[in-house]
Amino acid sequence: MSTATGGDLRVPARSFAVIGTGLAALALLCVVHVGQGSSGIGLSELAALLTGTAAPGVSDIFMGSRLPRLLAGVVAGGALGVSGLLIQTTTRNQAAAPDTLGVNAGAYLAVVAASFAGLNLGALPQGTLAFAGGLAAALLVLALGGRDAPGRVILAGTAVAMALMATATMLLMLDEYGTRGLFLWGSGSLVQSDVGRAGGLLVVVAAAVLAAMALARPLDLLALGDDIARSLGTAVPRVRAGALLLAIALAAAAVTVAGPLAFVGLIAPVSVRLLGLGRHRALIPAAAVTGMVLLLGADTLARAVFDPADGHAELPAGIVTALLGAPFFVVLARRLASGHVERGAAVALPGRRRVPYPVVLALSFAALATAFVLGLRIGDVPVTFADMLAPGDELVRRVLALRVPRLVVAAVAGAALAAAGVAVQAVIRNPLAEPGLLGVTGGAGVAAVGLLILVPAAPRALLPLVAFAGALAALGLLVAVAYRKGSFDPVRVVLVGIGILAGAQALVYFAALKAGMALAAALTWMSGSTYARSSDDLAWLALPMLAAVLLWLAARPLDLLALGEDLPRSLGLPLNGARMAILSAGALLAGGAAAAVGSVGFVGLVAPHLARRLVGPGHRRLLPAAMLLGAALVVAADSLGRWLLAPKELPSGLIVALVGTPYLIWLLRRSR
Amino acid sequence: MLRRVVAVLALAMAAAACGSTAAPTAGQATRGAAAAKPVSIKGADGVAVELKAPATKVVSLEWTYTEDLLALGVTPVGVADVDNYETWVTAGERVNGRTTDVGTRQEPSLEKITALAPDLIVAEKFRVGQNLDALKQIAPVVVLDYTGEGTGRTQYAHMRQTLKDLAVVVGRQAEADRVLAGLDAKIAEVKGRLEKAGKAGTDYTVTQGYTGENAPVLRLLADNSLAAQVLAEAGLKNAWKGKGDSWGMTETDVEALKQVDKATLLYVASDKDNVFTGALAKNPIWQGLAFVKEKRALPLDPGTWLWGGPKTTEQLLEETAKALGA
Repeated sequence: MSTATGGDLRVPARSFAVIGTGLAALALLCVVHVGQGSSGIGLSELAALLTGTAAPGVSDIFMGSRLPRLLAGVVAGGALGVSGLLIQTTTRNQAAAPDTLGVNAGAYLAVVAASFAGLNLGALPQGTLAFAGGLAAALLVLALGGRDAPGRVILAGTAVAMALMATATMLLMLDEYGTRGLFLWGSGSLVQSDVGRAGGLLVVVAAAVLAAMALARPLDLLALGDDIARSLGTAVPRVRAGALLLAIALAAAAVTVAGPLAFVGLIAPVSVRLLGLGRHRALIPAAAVTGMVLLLGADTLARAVFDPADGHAELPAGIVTALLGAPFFVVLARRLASGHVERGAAVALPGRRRVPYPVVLALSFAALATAFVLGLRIGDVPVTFADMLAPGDELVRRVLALRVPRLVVAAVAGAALAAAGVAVQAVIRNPLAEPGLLGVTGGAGVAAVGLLILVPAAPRALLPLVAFAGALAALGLLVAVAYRKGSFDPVRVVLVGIGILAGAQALVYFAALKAGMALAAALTWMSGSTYARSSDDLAWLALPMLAAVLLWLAARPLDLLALGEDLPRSLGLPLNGARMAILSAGALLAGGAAAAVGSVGFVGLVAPHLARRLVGPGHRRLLPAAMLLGAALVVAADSLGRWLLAPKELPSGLIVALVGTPYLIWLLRRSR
Repeated sequence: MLRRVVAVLALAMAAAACGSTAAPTAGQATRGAAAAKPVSIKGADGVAVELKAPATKVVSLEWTYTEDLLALGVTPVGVADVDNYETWVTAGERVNGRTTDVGTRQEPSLEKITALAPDLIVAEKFRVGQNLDALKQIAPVVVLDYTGEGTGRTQYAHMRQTLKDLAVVVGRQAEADRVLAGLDAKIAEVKGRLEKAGKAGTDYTVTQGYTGENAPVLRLLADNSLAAQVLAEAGLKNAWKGKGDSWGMTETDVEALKQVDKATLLYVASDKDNVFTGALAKNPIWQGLAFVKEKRALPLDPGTWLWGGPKTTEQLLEETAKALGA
């Protein structure tokens, strides 16, 4: 936070320079932006509006399409810029923003849930709902993350955001319209049907920004630290709560206008601080202008690349901001996380009620067996328990031949995901660290989609292989970026991983848009599905299972990693080497699971955590218990997915995410 | 009395077609005897499917082929996504109640299909991938490609060819010829009506609209689409010159209509989500479009599917003629 406190005498002049430059850039962008559109009506035709010599219909184009879109960019960009700034000041966390704290996702879920329930709301009621959703998500994340561990808050925020977005996706899938359009939903876009929505929320956003300006002085003091601020007469809790509420209101307004846009609320405030601004009087307008420039710039770029006048489909601005923002976030995370090695990560474990180990193993195994037998029972063709023992009927035999392999694949993949979670958590020392969160599965998705686009004729069997390679590549990138100054800061690993995940997702969306429906197969695969899996898919899990055995044998080094930096070193453990080896095993496990069943999240979070509560932190016991529970979880999800809407199937990945969400909330309550 | 007998017979036939273990009825037996020679069809993936006899128990995993099969007089024993088919594809015979819903088109239930014990599965190329091997375990699978890319045929010509190919494999070539002759007659009839009404050569744009995430999305059909090609056969001129994707459509927004507002707009929207009478009606661009002001924005039946087979194509022609007052 040195930049935040570094306000000196040059500040006013610099502020004017920064804000002035921003406004000039904004004006230029507005002009270019307003000239883009699918009618092909350009600036010269629009300029004629000023002189009153425009062709008929041109003013309609301006009022009905160009102005609403421009206004949406201004409102959402400005709101996100200021929202991010307020969040960063109140949490003193440079990586905090409406998206990394889950506020956007919470607001978006509220909006989606309302429309799922059939409510057709105007801009303001919808905004209010979004505010409630965003507020709930933020409170959840702050409760989970704690105040003094920046990395932990972001990790919690990203996990909550993922869970909320999965829930929103589920609702959208249940509503089932065209799957193609839906896939790009939730990326954030400036498309508007008329000027009403952005116009209405402009007032709200302007009011909130003015209110934030009124808090500028106390916010400056807050940035100096709670104690100093208090001694200078600031009502710290009240200022913090007020600023946070304003930030959430602003983010909710942005989501209502444009959906959950990635990274705008992060980049804008960080940039203006990097430019040397320190006082909130200047920071607030500068962040607002920068947010607008970023968002309109992204939208202008999107429409320059995919020119709508040429009949290209819409590239949502949110995908561009994610593509640009992800590397920015990675670089930021690299800078930010160092120095918190000791106190950064570990979440205190709640009081353990240890159950005798054999009992736990037996119970976990029983859970898996029960899930498996129910999985054999459930389906579109009735199969009785008697049939399972002695399948007499030819049809029953054939149906069991379909169910058994997919359940076995589900079980082994679940076990691999749980083991991956254990490995990653041992290194990062945080029970929320999950391979999916670290972009490992995201890398698999990028590689798979890349293959389908670059080599459309490639045999489908190559897909998992390439996905596997992608997972390893993502891990390689993660390690290369996060390894810094001879150490392997766990928090940095997580934050860099989150950046990679965001970038990978944006790349997949981008590719999907470019390739159109040809990607339908890849998209179902990526939603994390055990559909149509056969015993062939088990091949992807052979090597990962070997890695799991090796991890089990290496239980002692895994245990030592939990002790922080110094103790393991003094005990002669080559710390960085051990971390690298264990993380690689984790990537192998996660990559193999991704190759077999696509991206199934949260197993690596839920199963190890549950196991840890039952058998304690020793890895020799933890690993088998977690793997059994992970297997049971995915098998149960597979069965549920086949049963809930039969004959339609819900992807197991979504079911697990839905189970993961309440678990995460419960975990958060426990760890307070 | 006779009608009741026919109805009872039809019900019995339908029941026989649905039950997987039912003994072959007399009708099926004679049909089988008449055409019990090997048939084959080459899929879009280059794989030829050979059957010892024409298929009678067919599972269709894509709407277009469901429509084709129904047109050929073959009621598939299993159909993917029945509810949406009934909503979006209203031409031709109905399948609801006469077939088994096997789930979504993307991930149909392998178990349901297994239980139906089909002798042929008809699948769409862009949807099969993960499940192709599993489907092949159940029955021979012919993989077809609606877009016809790589065949050198237009989408309209490809639709006709697909119908003929399918007819071979279900032993219904005569029906295919009759259906296509019917389509030709329909084109000629509509062309004549349009000429008589003075509408020949009318510039038009045909679109399907639905609500996207924040705003209406319009699918404008380009010259490489089946719809545009068949309307050209009937003597109409497609005004939309944008690039069409593999399915012949350009996904865009209301602004794009400005480029074609001198033409006549033919639009399709579902009753539940009619963007043309809903969100668009309030939009100044829409209100200012020439075809809106001059009342040339004409609805087609909400169940006019624009990416279908022979019967939806006839429906498109009829709906277009009616909309144009011919």
